[in-house]
Amino acid sequence: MTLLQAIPTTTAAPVPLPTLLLSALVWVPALAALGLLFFPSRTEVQRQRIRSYSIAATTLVLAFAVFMWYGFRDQSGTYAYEETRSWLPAVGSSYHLGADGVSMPLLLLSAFLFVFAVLSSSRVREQPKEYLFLLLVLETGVNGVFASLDYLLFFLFWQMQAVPMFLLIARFGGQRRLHAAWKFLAVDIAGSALLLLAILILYFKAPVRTFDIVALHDVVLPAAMATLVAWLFFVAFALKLPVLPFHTWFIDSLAEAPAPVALILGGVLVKLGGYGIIRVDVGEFQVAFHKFSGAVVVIAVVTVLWTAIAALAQDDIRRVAGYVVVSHMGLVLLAAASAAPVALNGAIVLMVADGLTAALLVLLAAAIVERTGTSSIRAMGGMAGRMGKGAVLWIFAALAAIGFPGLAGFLGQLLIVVGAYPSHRIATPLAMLGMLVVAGAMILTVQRIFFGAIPERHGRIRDLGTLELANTIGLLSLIVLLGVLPAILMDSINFSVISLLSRGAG
Amino acid sequence: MTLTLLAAAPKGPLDTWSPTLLAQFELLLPLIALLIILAFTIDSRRVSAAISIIFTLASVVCALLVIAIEVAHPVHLERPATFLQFFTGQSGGASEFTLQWGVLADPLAATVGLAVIVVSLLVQVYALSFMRREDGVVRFFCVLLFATFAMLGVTLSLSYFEMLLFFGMVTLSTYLLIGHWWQREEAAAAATRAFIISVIGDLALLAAVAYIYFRFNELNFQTLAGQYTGGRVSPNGLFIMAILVFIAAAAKSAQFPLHVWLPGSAQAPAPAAALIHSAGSAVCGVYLIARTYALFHVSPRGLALLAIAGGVSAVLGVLWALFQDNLKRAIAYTTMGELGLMVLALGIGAYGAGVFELFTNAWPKALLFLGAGVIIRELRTERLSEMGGLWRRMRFTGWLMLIAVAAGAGIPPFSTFWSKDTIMSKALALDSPLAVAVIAAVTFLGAIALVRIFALVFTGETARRRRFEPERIRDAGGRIAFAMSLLAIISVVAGIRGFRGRTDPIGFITFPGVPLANSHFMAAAAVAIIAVVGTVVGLVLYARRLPVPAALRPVRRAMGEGLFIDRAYQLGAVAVLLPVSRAIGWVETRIVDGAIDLVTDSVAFVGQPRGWLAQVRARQLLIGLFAGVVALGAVTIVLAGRVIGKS
Amino acid sequence: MNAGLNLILTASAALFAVGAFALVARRSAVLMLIGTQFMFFAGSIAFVAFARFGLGAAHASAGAAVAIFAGATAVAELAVGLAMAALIYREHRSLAVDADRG
Repeated sequence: MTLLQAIPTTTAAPVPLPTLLLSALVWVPALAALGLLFFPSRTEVQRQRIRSYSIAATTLVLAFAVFMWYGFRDQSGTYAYEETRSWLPAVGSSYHLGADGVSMPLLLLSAFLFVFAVLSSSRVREQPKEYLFLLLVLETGVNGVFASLDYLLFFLFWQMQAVPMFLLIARFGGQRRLHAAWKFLAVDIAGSALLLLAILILYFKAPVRTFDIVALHDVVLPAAMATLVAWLFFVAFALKLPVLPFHTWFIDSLAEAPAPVALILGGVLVKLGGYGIIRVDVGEFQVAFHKFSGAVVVIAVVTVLWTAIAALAQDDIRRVAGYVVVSHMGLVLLAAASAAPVALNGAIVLMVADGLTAALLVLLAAAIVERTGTSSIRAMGGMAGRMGKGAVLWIFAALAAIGFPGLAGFLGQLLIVVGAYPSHRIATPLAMLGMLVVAGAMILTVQRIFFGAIPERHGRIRDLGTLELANTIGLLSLIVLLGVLPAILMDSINFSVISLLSRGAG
Repeated sequence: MTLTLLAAAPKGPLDTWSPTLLAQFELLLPLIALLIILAFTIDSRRVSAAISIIFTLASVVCALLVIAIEVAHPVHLERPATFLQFFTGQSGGASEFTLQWGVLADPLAATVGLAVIVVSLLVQVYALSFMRREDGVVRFFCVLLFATFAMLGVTLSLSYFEMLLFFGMVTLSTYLLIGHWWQREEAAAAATRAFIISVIGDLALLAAVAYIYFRFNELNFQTLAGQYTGGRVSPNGLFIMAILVFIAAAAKSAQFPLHVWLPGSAQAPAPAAALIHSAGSAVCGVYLIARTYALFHVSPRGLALLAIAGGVSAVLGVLWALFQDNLKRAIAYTTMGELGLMVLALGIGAYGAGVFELFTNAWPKALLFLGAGVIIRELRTERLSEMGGLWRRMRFTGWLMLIAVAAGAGIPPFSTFWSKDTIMSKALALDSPLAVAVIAAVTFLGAIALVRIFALVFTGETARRRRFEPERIRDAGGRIAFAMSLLAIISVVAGIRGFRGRTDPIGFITFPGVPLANSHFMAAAAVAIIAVVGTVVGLVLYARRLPVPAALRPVRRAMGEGLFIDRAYQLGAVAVLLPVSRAIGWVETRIVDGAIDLVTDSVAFVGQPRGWLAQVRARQLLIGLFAGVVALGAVTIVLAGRVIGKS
Repeated sequence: MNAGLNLILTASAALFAVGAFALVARRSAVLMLIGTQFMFFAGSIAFVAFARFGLGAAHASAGAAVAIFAGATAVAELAVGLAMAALIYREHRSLAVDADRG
């Protein structure tokens, strides 16, 4: 009997829960952002009020998400908390939201990470109103993508996360922020164009003129068309994932964005790509996807290995974190290509785990960069003496990134390897080589940054402050919780994964 | 009498005398102590150390109870719990994916677990005194507790998955122990190296898990033991599984060619090194092989692999030990020799003897390291060439080290003699001259290596060094002496069962299908003679401190550096991976980024134009670009129209 | 397909490209706004073309409706944009939008 079964559920019999929860999850941040515009932000007190207001808004969203999660198991049917309202009947698009075991964990992840992002935004000194406004609109876009079950709605929400992120990087980022921001936008727009093309082809080729994902699922397209659409969807999502050779936008953006924005970027935004591939390519176009899964596997393995090796010689601490995240997303892609139930479970678990790990790495890297005034690893060393708590937390983060047992990523990586192996006997061991290199890279960062002798100029740095500690320990507790009690996630994911796979194959 | 009492108690998974329940306590007590310290007493040295020792002592009691039960009535009980379980929607054996963990109490687990926890306790008592003047004492005890927990977890694992879980924890604990004095560059580098090699082993075990699950849909040791022979998997498949498990074991137990982390482990504080080498990470690997012996038993090539690799590692280890100048490294290399001998024993089918060797060798090894700690601290040097003449000044430590050396060399009636002679008799029974020769050579050279250490430290004249006053050397006392004496006593008596039984010393650690190897008088005599002769030769050679002939100096240097294998690895990693990494960086910046930048720069007019782009008039580029876009757009519209029109 | 439709769509694409070029390649705020107007109306032309040539036959007036809607949006955007251009001019004495500012 798993621990989860020992926890009493909220209700004895399935009671239909109010169906506004998903909409709330999606739109409350936008409404809060609109309300934010009315706050004055001239004095420090007023700015503090703005920050508190944003924290309250994101915490409210988190409360909704946790409440939904708790009642998730009681929902019957394929999609929980489903909402359907007519929106554009002329074109066949409806306001259709729904969450299943694939999107629910990601929604929860997003809710958590946005709270952490807003909490760690206290350092943003200039124009906090604009900054928080953009962050909240971003949350709406992200949650909307996870929740929407209508292609047009999906696309609209997808666009909604591009512009705020661009503005956040361009306005509040580091030295080379404009370069990074434009690169982000370029790749994003290219992906969006392909996404739109795929959606439109699907729309026009279907016998029924509708954008609804669930309705379109039963539509059978001619094989060539299906392959084309699946391929277009794949490329669009893969650009976001990001895979080789289009991953440089992510590394640069992660390095140049302010820490909370980088947290969202690495923790949530790239998971949109993974989610898209699982939802659309594996869920809807499995047969067509299977035809070119060989190419996908090659791309995945190359991504895992290339980025892992690139992380070795990387001198910028933020970029190391970026490469590690991309390496993990390569594993997720491998799992999606294998379309095995065990591997897909692992992919979702890894996405959640990697989101938390990326957030932790980003926050710690930002703390280190801020204190030492440099992001170059070569200039650091021996900092464990001055930053004891920081060292312990970074070691934990490195272990989480490596997939150390007892922390969240372990199970994800284990399930992916065990699940993908039967169908890809050569690719999986190669991917494991990548995991080894990532382990080497991360443990080397620990040594180079924290061990050894401390250079003169860093002799006076101070350890993590209360707020930083609160944020990072909060993230760490989630990572440990998931590592020790993965059943919390797994029980809800598994049923949806199996039904997604069986729907896709049938 | 206690045994009969225990034997009379009802057995079953739910009653209070159950070995699995006791094993669970044994496992969890160090963890609970760790959590209590982390939560409540992290600021107080004394209270933390007290908690640590008390809980470890309680765990020792549990371990003793477990082994008492096992000696009286060998049982193979397990108490599994489900870590994770879900349905996969597939049919047949793969319909349910289950990951199990729990405790497995059988003679093997009981014996090795006892060694682990007792060594941990004694090491903690030693460390209480040894580390009392340092910062980071509480951290040290926490890591010791974590290492103990991890090792106990390994010994009590009941599935490949759980083994993987605890292997990872052993990796981390070894890393933290070796890197305890992280302020030193060498210690940090050694810790990193140990971590990477250990992770290689963990990944090999993960691969084994994937492959075994793929073939058998099962990960539980006991369930699998009956399934290997079913014919479901071809001999090649079984061999692959054996190879993967061996790699995992080799990484942890410093078998060739994954041995390069072992000399670095000398960077750990002496008590930590004692734990790692005698009952920690180093024995994990051997234990894994013993636990999964059912797999090797059905794969003759797997057994051959064990024998060959074990033999090579053993010979190399003791050879290299002869050329070390650093005291702790010399002991570390003898560990490599011992571990190789254990693996060799398992490879030739001396199952009980190999495990017994693990048990008997733990005590003298730990004692050697603890003694080394005291010696290094008093002499203020780690180099054997700067030591000598301690017999006069540290008589007590000298006696203890003498016992350790004798026990480690295999001189009767000390501990390892009883296991070595059974291994030898198995080799004789197999009629394999190669095995006999290797075992003899390893015993001989091992004895020399150990005696060399003793001779260089204790005999001769105290070397004169600047700013060093030999008069201020004090012998070991207090808790340190207590811990070391206890280890010495155990080293003497640990093999006693072999003496009484005159049969396979650990008769109750059996493996179905592997006949008990009775130790023949021939073998025992052979081992005894070899060990004694080796000791004498070692004394003669090294007590006189003959200078090394100039011609042999390069050889000495090469052997001292472990034939530069470690350097080769490092060079390989640096020479291969780093340039590749930098090349990747170059490719990304120039080619990939360059392509994207071309687009963004021309569109954005912000950011710095790159390279040749600055010379091109951006307007001309734009005009060309947009002409292309228009053309492309026109073509797209026409084609799209055609496509849509055909629907 | 329909040759007339193709022709009008090509013209629309060309107009759109011109507008985009003006938007991107010009420094003056007013010229950039003119570019956006080109883009809006190019889109409207495409909508009307489809409505006229029968693809949106079921809702023939929808294309024209969208064109009117797009036109209204264009005018609104122009109004806001010109107001901002006026502010920029007042501030910097020139209509250049890419002055070196952060």
